[in-house]
Amino acid sequence: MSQTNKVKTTAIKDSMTSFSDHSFKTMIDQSPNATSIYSINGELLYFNEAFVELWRIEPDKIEGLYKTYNIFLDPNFAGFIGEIKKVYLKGVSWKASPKKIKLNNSVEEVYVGSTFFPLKKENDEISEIVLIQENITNLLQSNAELRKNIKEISVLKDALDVSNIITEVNGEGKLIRVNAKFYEISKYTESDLNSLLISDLRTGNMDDSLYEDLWKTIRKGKIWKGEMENRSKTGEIYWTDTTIVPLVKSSGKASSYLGLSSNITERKTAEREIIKLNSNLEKEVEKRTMDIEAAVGELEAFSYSVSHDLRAPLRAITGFSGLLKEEFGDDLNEEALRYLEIIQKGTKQMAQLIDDLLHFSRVGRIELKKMIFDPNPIVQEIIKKERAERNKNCKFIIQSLPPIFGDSNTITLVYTNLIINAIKFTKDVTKPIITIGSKESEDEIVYYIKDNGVGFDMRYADKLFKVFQRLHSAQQFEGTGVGLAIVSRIIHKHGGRVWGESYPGSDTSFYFTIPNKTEDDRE
Amino acid sequence: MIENDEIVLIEDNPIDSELAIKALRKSGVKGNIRVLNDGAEALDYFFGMGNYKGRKTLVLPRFVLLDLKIPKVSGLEVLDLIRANRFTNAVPVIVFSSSAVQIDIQEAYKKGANSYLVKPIDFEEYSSMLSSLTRYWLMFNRTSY
Repeated sequence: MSQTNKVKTTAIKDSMTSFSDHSFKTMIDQSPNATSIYSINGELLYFNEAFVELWRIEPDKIEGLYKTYNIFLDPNFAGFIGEIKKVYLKGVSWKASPKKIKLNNSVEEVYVGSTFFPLKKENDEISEIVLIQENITNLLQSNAELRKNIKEISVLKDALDVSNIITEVNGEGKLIRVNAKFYEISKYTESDLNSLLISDLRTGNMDDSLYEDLWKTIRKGKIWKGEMENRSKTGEIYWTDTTIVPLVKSSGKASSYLGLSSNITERKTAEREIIKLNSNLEKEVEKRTMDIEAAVGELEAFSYSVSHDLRAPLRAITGFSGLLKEEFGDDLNEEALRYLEIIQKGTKQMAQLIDDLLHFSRVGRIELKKMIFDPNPIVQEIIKKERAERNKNCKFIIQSLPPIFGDSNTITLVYTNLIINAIKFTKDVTKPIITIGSKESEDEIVYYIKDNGVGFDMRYADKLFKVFQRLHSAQQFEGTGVGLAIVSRIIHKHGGRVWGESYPGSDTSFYFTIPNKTEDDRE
Repeated sequence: MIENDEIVLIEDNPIDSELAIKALRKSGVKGNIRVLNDGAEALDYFFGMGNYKGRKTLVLPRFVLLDLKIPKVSGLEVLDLIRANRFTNAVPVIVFSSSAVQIDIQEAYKKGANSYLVKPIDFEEYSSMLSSLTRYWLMFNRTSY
């Protein structure tokens, strides 16, 4: 026991007048609440250790309190004197509202709750009053916090209520509690709730396994999350993003299940719309593809027909004009023979046009088989053949060409056409020189063929690669104007670029690029 | 061995067949050149039906020049049927077509063509092609019959 208790005991001996019940005093001593006893004149008669603690009374001041402290003189109770006196007069207890009090020798202020009640003699006369005081600062603080928390929770609940459907369901799937949002969306009313099972909301469109999984999960005490399709009372479909939390009892078993659902019908509708649009789009693409395939098929049939039927009459013209010359040539004069000559030349040209046209249309339909290949042997082979056939005087300067990623068959056609062109347009030059090479820039390789031939007028450069467009007369240079169109078609199919440059009295060059292997090309 | 000098030309275009006949004659063909104007007539000829009822079908021509684009029954079908029949399957069939389309060439060989020639437009080339052809099939080549 501490020093204070000893002191108190002495004090009681001296001061106690009307109450001497030992057990009562023991009770006061043991009370955790600050308890003090006053005479009818307000003089402090007795107090316990909790009182000393509450008021932070220094040990050497304890003894002095008995002589000096009077409750009616305490400024803390200045406003309550009337009330305290009533306790004496009427013998009823009074509870003062909590009061902020400055503690002894301290800047600290505490809220103290005070309850006065009278002690009566055997003849009912009031002998003393007891004051029980309690520091309720912490209590008030936690109350304030609690109120704040409750307020926050209620704000959250309000927010949740506005946006979410809240349902509580028991183990049998019966709805126990729902919020207003539930009624709003499900169209059920309070009177339906008694007979309503959560399974009544099912649409039948969802797989049974979903519900099985749901119940299995929450019965294990785990949270289930998922998207659900529901049917309202009026038969409308609504979608929810639902979280179901088992509410676990102290026994550890879930007593009910709380469902929080947000209405995602709009999102689901939008998703459906997108799926529908996509499927329509696919159908549209399919249809277009079929149209294109049909068109390609028709074109194929057209080319086939052209190759057969257009040639037959040509053969008749060349054949019979040839026979005419052969069988009746002796009877014809020079002029008639010249006419025959023109007819045959014309038909030959026409045949060439047909062949080139077919060739050109075929190039458009060729499927590229891309791979990395070395163009050097291909170029050598073409030069060997074309030089021998067309102009043996032609001098070729060939640089080593870097590998190409492309379709070697069609790139061969590109080189063939460009080389034939170069030979053709240098035929009138005394020392024809054709250079084949490449130059590397930052991100691409440019392949080129340069010649010292007649060149072309740069003003018409855009016409170079168009089919049947010619920049020279047939007398000057024969040709149908298909070669460069084929070159351009092939290069474009490869995703590359092709262009020509020519300067009078200087060189003429044709350039092309082929893109490198990209991600798309990898399989 | 059954002697027969006949050459069969399956061709619907009369100008083409006349031209072919001229070229064949020029290259020294003396025997009969029979022109069959469509696929149906060709089948009648080979299998002794219709106008050719009673023809000795075992007597096969020296060779057949077959155009692919012919009326009624197509050239490829005619070829197919000739090859499917054990009495006719030995006859040399040379496809003589305007088509240089790869698929036609492949199909023709698949069905058993002995050769595939694209008709040249230029008459000189045309004549020299038929002349080489005649020389090869009439002079050098040996048939199984």
